[in-house]
Amino acid sequence: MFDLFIKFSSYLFVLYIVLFLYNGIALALDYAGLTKQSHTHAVFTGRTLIVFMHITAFLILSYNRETFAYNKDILIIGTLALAFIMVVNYLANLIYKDSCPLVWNCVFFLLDVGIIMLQRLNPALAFKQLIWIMLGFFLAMWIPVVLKLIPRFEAFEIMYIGLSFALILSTLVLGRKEYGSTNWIYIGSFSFQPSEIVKFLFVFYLASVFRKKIDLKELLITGGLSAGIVVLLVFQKDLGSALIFFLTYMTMLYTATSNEMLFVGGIGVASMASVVAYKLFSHVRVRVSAWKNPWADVDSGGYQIVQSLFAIGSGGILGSGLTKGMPLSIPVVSKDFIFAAVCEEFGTIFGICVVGIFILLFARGFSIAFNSKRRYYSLIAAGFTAMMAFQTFLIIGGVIKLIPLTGVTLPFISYGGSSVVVSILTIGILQWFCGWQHTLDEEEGTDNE
Amino acid sequence: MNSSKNSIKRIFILIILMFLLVIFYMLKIVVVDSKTMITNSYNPRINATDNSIKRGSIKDIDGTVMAYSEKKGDSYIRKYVDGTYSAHVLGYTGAGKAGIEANQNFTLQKLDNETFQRINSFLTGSEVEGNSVVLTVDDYLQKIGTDLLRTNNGAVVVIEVKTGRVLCMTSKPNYDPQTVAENWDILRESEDSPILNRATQGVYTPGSTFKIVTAIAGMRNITDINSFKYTCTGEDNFQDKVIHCYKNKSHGEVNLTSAFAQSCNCYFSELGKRVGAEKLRETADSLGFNQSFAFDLNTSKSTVLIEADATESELVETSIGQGKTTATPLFMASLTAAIANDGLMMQPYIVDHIENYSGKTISTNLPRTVGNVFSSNEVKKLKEMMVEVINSGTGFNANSEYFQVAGKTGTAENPNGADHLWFVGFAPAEEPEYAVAVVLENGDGSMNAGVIARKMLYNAINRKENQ
Repeated sequence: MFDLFIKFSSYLFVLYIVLFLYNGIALALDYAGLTKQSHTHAVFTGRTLIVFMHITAFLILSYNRETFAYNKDILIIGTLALAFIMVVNYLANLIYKDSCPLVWNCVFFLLDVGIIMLQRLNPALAFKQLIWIMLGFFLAMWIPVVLKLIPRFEAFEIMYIGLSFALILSTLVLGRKEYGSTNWIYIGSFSFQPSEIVKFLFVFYLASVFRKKIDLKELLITGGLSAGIVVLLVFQKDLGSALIFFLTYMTMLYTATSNEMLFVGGIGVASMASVVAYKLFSHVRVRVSAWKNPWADVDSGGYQIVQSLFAIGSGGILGSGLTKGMPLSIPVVSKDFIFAAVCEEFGTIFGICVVGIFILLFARGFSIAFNSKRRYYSLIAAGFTAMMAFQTFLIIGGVIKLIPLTGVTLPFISYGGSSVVVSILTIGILQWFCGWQHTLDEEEGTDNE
Repeated sequence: MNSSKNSIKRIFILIILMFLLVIFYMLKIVVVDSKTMITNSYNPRINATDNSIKRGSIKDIDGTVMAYSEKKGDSYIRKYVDGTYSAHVLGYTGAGKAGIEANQNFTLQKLDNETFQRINSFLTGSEVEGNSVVLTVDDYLQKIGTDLLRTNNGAVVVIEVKTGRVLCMTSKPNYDPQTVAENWDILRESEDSPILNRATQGVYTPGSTFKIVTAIAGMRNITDINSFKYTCTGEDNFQDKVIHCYKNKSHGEVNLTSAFAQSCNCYFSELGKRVGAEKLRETADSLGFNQSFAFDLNTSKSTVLIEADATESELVETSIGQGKTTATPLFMASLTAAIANDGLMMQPYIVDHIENYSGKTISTNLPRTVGNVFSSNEVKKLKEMMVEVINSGTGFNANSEYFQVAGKTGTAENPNGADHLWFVGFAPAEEPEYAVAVVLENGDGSMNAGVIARKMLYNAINRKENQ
């Protein structure tokens, strides 16, 4: 009977996410002024779907087949997580005045997919992840206060880039190897990835520079400093972060200058740099050959990617059903490869809809950048959104073997303290810009329709 | 300001395109790639057995059950009927998986109409059953093939030439699929490698059966091949290599047909030398050597590794099927079937169709062509030569009073003991129906590969006529 419920649930999960996505797209079109519908109703529908998904999943995860009973601890965690999501979703809309409720909904949907998957893969990690999410939102709630106190934070240009270099270089002294990359810092029992914090500083720095009219000298200095960060990351074997920083730089440069030649030139330089990196570093060559033909070397180089493809392929369109697959055979499944686990048990349709929710989130992010009348905010919003989009693309593309694998986390879904906290804070800043612009529009009494 | 807004728009469009590519690629994985990908032996899901459901049965082409699951307490156990006869085809479960049990694991565990079956099971207590796999093999021929090998190690493969359907595939030494788990250590450590499916994974030196390839290379590259004559004295010198004919027998003046019938090593060495390493390799590649072979069971590649700059001794060795050249019985059967099928090579297959729990066919495998590997002139000449092998040459053992056999014998030198014996052929020569490949390891004269081939062809044809 329980198997029947799992079978039935695999249709339910697809139904939930398809409705959520449909509802979200309708809402986004409405925000863009293309259609008209009741906002509160659609936002409420989205929240209800998250609740349904959460309850369905935890009913499966907490059931014990041997004793035919529900595990109380898992039910408590599940209830706690659900209560937390509902309360914080409500609070976030309250504290961030005039922020976009659709963005919050998407974020909570993705976070919940992460919690459910982690509870299934490794319950201890799910609990820790929940604590990280709480910390993330606790910090995010202070963003409006801080930004009210320091509204002109573009003044600290030099501090941003200086701190960035300091943090990245600090791994040389305090760093420890993790999955082949030296990009973690350990202070006592506390550890974090400096490159995650540098993400903020880097975007703030570039926005501070690019908000002004810049001359060639400044362009070269900024380009040189940014390239310095990227090269340091490559040396630390953190190829994923290096690529994300580079692409973010290109996005912000293009947004600021609208110069196609610079964009194309930058990509050209990067292509040459990749060839050099390929020739110079063995870890780059290993990644590329594992991508080109993982089947040739299943025992070592191609192992991760092949296991990931097995999971996605075996799960198929509708998935094996929650708890019915074998995602634990995928290496690093709770972090880099969590998307493969989601596809295996929830199915590829669900996986595609997850991609759809990410696109929806990025659409809202770029829309905030587009509508912001302050160039500085606009640049930061575009930078953050692009950064998150490239990171999502790199890891999902890597997991499905579309591009060579670079070990980065999937925002909101992968386990990881630094990653989750930083992703939530990024959204916090975007949402604050959204509210700020809204207030400005109202004060001016003008409508930009 | 406005240009910056346009840039944001463009970046967003770029990002949407990137993610559309992701979505497209994901669909490609599940819809196109997954079928062949997930049956890879590295997929740990193959070894996962869900004992809470009734695993589907494996049946032969007539519906005779070869493997099925039976309820014992709360879970199911696997049973095999006369499993030793088809051990390498069926494979096993319990100590990992192999054979069809591994390759079709997902099918055997897939519940058709799962919702209906589960509800029905909940209401009436009926069993929840996976899909059954119906093979192209004939249980009866499996038994005959296995028995004919007697105590010899080796393999027998019979293929229907027009479709590529495998009617019989046996390999010796065999094992009992039922007791693999208990006997795992013995099976694993045995020097004879009983677990190995010699029909698909046995890489044998093809010996004189490879002269089919050399003959084709001659037809394609030497214009006056039909008038080319050679006088055999029983041995000949090539650079630093002396080539002997079997038992140093002198064949006198031979042409392509008589040299082929007598399996004259000296003639084919000379022919190979004239063709040259590059062209010989080119011919072998065009016939499917050195390519991976799509089949439902794990297969080894058949290889011809000679390079254009090979020495003359390497070249002549390769020309007569010795040296580094290897072939599996399945590949040789498939190549022979292509000759019988007017040059059109069919992809061999062993899964005929899939039935659901109620016996309804839910998917059927259809014959697939690999391509035209021989021209009609080549086929005509080869058939004529292969008939001569039986009627006036080394293949007299395969001569049948009921139908004309065409074939080629082979003796593969074995540095570790007695020679391996080969026979490949088809019948009836005029309207070919079945092709066969037989390998006998360390043939000691107690059994002849040609006799086994003749009996297999007889039984295959006879069985069809009686239906």
